[in-house]
Parts: sequence; structure tokens; C-alpha cells
Amino acid sequence: MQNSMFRLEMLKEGRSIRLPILMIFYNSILAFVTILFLFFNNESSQAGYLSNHAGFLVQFLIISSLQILTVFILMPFAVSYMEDTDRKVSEQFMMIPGVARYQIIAKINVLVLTNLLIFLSSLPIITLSCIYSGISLMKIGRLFGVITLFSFWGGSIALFHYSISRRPLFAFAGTIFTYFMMSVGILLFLEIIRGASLSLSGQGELASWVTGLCLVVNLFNPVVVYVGYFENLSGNVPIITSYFGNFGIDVTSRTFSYLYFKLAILACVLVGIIFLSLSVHFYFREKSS
Amino acid sequence: MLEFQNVTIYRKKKKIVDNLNLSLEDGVIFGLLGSDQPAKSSILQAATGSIKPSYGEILLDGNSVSSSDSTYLHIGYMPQKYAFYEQLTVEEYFEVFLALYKVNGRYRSRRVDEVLNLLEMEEYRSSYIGEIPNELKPFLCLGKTILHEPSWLFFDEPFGDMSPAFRKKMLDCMGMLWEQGKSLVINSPIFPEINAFLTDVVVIEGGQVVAKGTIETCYESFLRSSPIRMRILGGMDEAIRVLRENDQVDRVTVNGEDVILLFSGGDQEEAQLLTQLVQAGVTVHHYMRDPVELDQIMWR
Repeated sequence: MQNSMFRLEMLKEGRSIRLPILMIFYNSILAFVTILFLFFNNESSQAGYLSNHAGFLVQFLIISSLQILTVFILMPFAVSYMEDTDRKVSEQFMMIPGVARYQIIAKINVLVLTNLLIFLSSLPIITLSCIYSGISLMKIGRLFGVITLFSFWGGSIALFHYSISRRPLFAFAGTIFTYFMMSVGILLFLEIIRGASLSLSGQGELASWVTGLCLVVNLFNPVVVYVGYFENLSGNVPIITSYFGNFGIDVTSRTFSYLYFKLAILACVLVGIIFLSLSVHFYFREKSS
Repeated sequence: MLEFQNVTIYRKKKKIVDNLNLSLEDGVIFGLLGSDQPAKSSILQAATGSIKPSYGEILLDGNSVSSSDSTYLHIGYMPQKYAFYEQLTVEEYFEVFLALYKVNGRYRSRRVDEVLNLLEMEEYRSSYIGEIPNELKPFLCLGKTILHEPSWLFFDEPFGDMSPAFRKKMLDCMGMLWEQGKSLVINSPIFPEINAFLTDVVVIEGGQVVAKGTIETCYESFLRSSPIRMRILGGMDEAIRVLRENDQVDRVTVNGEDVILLFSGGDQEEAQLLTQLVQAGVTVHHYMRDPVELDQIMWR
């Protein structure tokens, strides 16, 4: 049963004009940004400065960040166009036990694979940055891993909203809102807690439970995974060191940061699994009424 | 046999179907009639396992439809609203359902041939669904409904906005399926061709069964709600007295020489009422029930 649903989704996606157009636009933008950077780097070396490997590193970081951001931009659109035809086609599957699970699994697989395909299509552009910056294939592999993880995480949330929303617009808005709340929202929430704790303590000291809360809650923040990736490429990030430092957490320790960012990856996977389970539960929610 | 046992269905906290009890024998062509479209659609969805009844149970050959993992293999459902992925070919579309219904791999191609043959759509086997004429798309949905050779077929408004020619084609296909030994349950408005097609019907109004049986018995029971109209040429006072004394007479309206009344008795009681009127000295010129079409009754 899984194969047939997966084949259905792949045929549908593969025969649609959307993916090639998306790849064209996506790679055009990346190529434009890359060419700009190459142009400026060339200008600076012609002006007599040494060829700046760090400049190419920055170029790679910006390109890879754009690629990661694109995952979160594409997901809400991916589910918002699914809405109408998919629901009516799904009416024909409703009486088959277990089909909701297979449909959701097939859809998330296709969402992740689509993003990976887009990433693979941009490899020639990325390697332009790698050639001059000395970035190894491992780093590109790491970028591949981050994009896979965020595709899974973002796709799960998008599918959840697709399952519970009656209209494409609601699914779109709900997905964007959830991304925002789980990233910026968590950061703001913890900042408010920190401020409240400092003002309540009277001595300007932070309660230890606030530090613990920051550590635990931020595990579920995808920004932490991104920071881990960023740090791996470029070393310590002052703004992040400062943010965690405000909570009394020293992220400069290699052991800590290695373990913490790995835990954040696991937490992202767990959140994805939870949202997928909820999607299956709500997919044909009339069944459970 | 398909049994509905005390089935009640709620949708968004509103009772749609109220305590439905029904038994359908194998080999029936059963019609769900009446103006209560949400109730009829919900009954079909519950019978196919698409939704679970809030209370009660639906059994197919003794097995619960909603909790059994294999009952769905004996059920085919053609929903009212459906859509297709137009990028798929007809064969690919059928392949999805053949796999979902666990039809053996080697048998699949032959089954696709058989279904397309039945529907007279062999030429569209490799065509994309987007290229098929819109009038043939309901038959595509019918095709996927019968792919796995279910013994029970459920149709929710299968005729839609079809032209008479395609309606006849759909009925012919259903007839062929019935001759193959399948049982059919059809939610449809009344039209002349389907009147003769259905073996048994149930009329659903306000979520409840108001009549069940054959088309003729339902027609009889509704005919009784149709008024009797008579023209009295003489003895109007006597006529009114006789009518008032009869327990089965309700709501008498007099308009000049015309008298209109609701009478709940059958043919025998109608004849006796006429006899009583004549014996009382009333001169009756014209005495009969208003004729009604079954579809008019449904939408009253």
C-alpha cells in the first residue's frame, strides 16, 4: 500500500511543471548572488588585496543560508496548492483502513525529496564557493543533512496544517505562524522570562530554573540547529555566544556545543514525528467522530 | 446482508441520522430517497466505513464495517464529490486502487481490461485523465469502484448533472453489475428510469426513515397524504356531517361546490366513505385523490 501511495505522489509531482520552474528560479537567484560575490572578490584582489578566502567562506555561508531559508518558504506554498484536488481525491480512499498514514508518509517523502532535488540541482553553484574557500565535501554533506532535517521538520508542520485546515489560505497562514512561533517566538518568550526573572530577583541574578528552561525549550528551536551548522563552518558566532551567555550558558565549550546541537537535531526529528502523527490523526477526522 | 443497528450519526454536534434500523438482503438494488441529502450521504459514508457512526453499528455479513480490517474489500464506494489527478493515465489511476485493494499483481492488467470493457472505455486506457471528456469521468470513478470486485456497491448521487443518454449508460452499467450478483445501494433523486430500476427504497426525512419497502408500497403510503377532492352538487350540509363523523378525515376545506379533505384511510375506507356520502343523500359528481409523482412527494 505504501508503494502505491508513494508512486502516486511521485507521478503527480514529477509530471507537474512546478518543479522545473521552481528549479530555474531558485538556481537563477543563487547564481546571481554567487556571481555578485565572485565579482566583488575579484574586484578586491585586483585592487591589490590578497585573495580573501574568508570572503568565499562568507559567500558559501550566505548561499547555504539562502538555501535553508528557501525550504521554509517553499513548504507553506507546497501545502497550500495541495488543498482542493487532494481532498476530493482523498474522499475515494477514506474507507480503506490505514490509508491516512500511508498518504502522509508518501507526502512527507515527496516534500523532502523535492527539496533535496532542488538542492542537488544547485550543487554546481555551491561548488563555485567551495573551490576558492577550501570548504570540504563534508561541509556540503552537512548542508545536505541540514536541508533534509529542515525539509522533514518544516514539511511535517505544513502537513499538519494541511490536515486540519479547510482552506489553503488557513494551511498557509498556520504553517508560517508555527514556523515563526517555534523560532523567533521561543527566543522572545525566553527573553521575556529572563527579563521577568531578573526584575523579580531584585539582585539582578538569574534563577537557575530559567537557565534550565532556556536549555530545554531551545532544543525545539530550529534556529539552534542552524546555529550549530553555522558554528561548524565558521567557528563561534558572537551573537549566539552573547544570547546564551545572558542565560548563564557557555556555548564556547566544544563538548557542550557538540552535544547540545546534536540533541537539538534529535528534538527537531521528534517534533517532526509528533506533527506527522497528528496529521494522520486529523487527516480523516470524521472517522473518529 | 447489510444491517444498520440503531445507527445515529452526529456532525458538528448536530444529529444528522436518528436511530436508523435497516436490513438489506444480498442482491438488492436499494434506493435512498428523500430530500435530506446530508443524512443520505452520511448513511452511505457510514456503511462504507468512511465515517464511524456516533452510536450503533453497521454489520456486513456479521462483521462490523468500521472496526474490521478486511470488510472494505467487499465494499465499493462512488462518492458524490470526487476529483482526479489529471497527470495520471487511466491505467495508472486504476493501478493505485488495485494495489490499495490488494489485488494480485498478475491479475491487475486483466482486471483493468475487464473494467474498461464494461464501461466501453478501452480506447482511453493509456490516455491522461485530463484528456478524457468530462461526461466520461463519472464512469472512471465507477471503474475504480468496481476494480476489486466488491459484493456491495454504494453510489452517492452517481447521476449528477448527466445528460439522459449518459444517465441511461450509467444505469445499464449498474444493471450489468447487478446481474453479476452485486448488491447496489443508490442515493439518487427520483427520475422515471430509476423508478423501474430500484427493487426497494427507504425514504429519509429529518434524519429518520419515513417509509420503506418497494417503490409501490412507499407510493401508496405517500398517496394517503394526498388530499381527496370532490365536487358536491347537492346535500353539502349532509356531506360535511358525514365527513366530520369519520375519524380518518382531517382538515376539510369547502370552496363553493368543491370539497378538499385529507383522508388517512386506504382504498377500502375511501370506497366506504363514498358509499356513506351517497347513502346520506349527497350528490357527488367527482371523487378522487390528487395524483402525485413520487419525486413531487420527496420534495414536498
